[in-house]
Amino acid sequence: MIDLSVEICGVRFKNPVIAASGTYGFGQEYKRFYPLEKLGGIALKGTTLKPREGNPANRIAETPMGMLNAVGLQNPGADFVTEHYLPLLAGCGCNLIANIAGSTVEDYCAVAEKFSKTAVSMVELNISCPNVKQGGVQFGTRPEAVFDITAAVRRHCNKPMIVKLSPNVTDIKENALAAQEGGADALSLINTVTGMAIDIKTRRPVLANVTGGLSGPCVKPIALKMVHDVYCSVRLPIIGMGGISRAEDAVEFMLAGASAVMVGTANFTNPYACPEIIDGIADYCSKNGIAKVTELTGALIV
Amino acid sequence: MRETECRILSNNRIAEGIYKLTVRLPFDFNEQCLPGQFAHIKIPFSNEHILRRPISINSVGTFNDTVTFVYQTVGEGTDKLSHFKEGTELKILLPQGNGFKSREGRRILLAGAGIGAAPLKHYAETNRNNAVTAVLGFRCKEKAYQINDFKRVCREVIVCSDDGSIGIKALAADAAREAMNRESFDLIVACGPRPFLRQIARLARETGTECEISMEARMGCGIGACMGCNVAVKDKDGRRYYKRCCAEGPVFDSREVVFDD
Repeated sequence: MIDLSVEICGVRFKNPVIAASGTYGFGQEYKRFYPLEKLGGIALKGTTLKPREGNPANRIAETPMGMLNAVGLQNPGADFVTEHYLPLLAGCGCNLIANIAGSTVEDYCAVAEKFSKTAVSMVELNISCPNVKQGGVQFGTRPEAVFDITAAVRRHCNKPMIVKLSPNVTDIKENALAAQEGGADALSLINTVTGMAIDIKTRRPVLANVTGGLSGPCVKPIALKMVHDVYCSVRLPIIGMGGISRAEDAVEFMLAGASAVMVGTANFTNPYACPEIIDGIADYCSKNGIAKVTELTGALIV
Repeated sequence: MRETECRILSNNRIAEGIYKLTVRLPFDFNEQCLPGQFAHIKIPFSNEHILRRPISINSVGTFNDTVTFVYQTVGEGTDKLSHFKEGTELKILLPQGNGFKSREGRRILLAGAGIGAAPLKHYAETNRNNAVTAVLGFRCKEKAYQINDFKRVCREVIVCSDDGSIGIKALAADAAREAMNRESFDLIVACGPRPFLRQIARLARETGTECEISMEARMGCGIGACMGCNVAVKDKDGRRYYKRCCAEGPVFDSREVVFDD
């Protein structure tokens, strides 16, 4: 029997696979395909203090081996999420991670406070959404801003806090260090890579927002390199993501230094992606004589 | 809704850029596919196309053992799909979304433009007891399809084309208005391009007729999780917000859809 469990800043996950924020809603859709207790955890849809309408259509464009999205953080607001969705998820048998976003530092702090009073296991600070005009990535590009918001939210958050890093920066290591100094307990990376698609028939951008965030298998090499870079420069546990669609991909991220992984876009291609990846990791471990999945983290031979 | 593995029975061109795909449903498939619902189909052997394609249901076999889709090749994904022949396995999420409401004993006007006629055929076939008039608009004769299938189940079929090469020379929305002028209907059921649906919604408003329209959107997950396929709607107080085309749609009351975007 392979031990698939991992621990991230004191939170125990039965396996290292977490559904990535923004691709899994609040878990209600996927539980029609398999019990949510199969998962290590779920990162809930990015939540802001007040409800957000999000961007106009089109919000999605398929690109080779990937997709662009510019949803713009549509969500029903923190009160609705804590009062309506969290009860629906009570007893779902996996860790819940609240993903919080906002237009101002005060917004982030207020949302963090609300989730601090709930049963979520962790809070993920989304300072890397590329699709909103105010907030989002503006807090996540410069290391000083990353430090400031991490330190500010830290004071209002009594849950272990993950900072989700943007890849759209000159040197992700600096931002990782800034988050660490600001008091983050863990890091998750990468959020989407900014991109664009153009329709030559209409001469217009495919996305109403003009630009969007690229995800899917096409970003995997970028993400792996960044996980490797960050693993080599900070002490914090890393949750790796970016184009993971098969167990082999998840193993690659763990070898590069991730303690756990998030699976996002693959859920769209295959609604059973998460459980299949979990089973596949167990297979890989048993075929390679690995008793505990934690042995993989950072086991890259360079 | 569930994921099914379905074998292709046939996949043939029936008009210019229009294909008819029939698949066999697994033996244990026991869900009912309602008119207006759709399937989310993975393009097989194609890792490059990571998203599924939402395609409306054109008809369901008598014993609920097969399902037929009529689709248009609009890009690389659907073009690839059109090349797969009998025997290929397709991964399909089915049935998805909300269909048209079912009606008994009413006078119904179906209005379909282009590939939008496809889901209306399933509707016509399941509403044979109603007095159904179908207005089918195509760009030209080469792009027209399934007219005889509609004639078998509808009381009246009015065909029109933009260039007059088949049926009367008229835009589908104008032909629908003409039909409304001639006689009254209790309900309009429409599917087609957005500008066409906007005109149909206006026609419904002006004539005070109930109207259901099936909308199209680029979809991510197709099951309601990703918020990718938003359709702008308004509530009774005029407050604007977004619904998910895949989960709350693809069929909407024409009065709630906001077209001014």
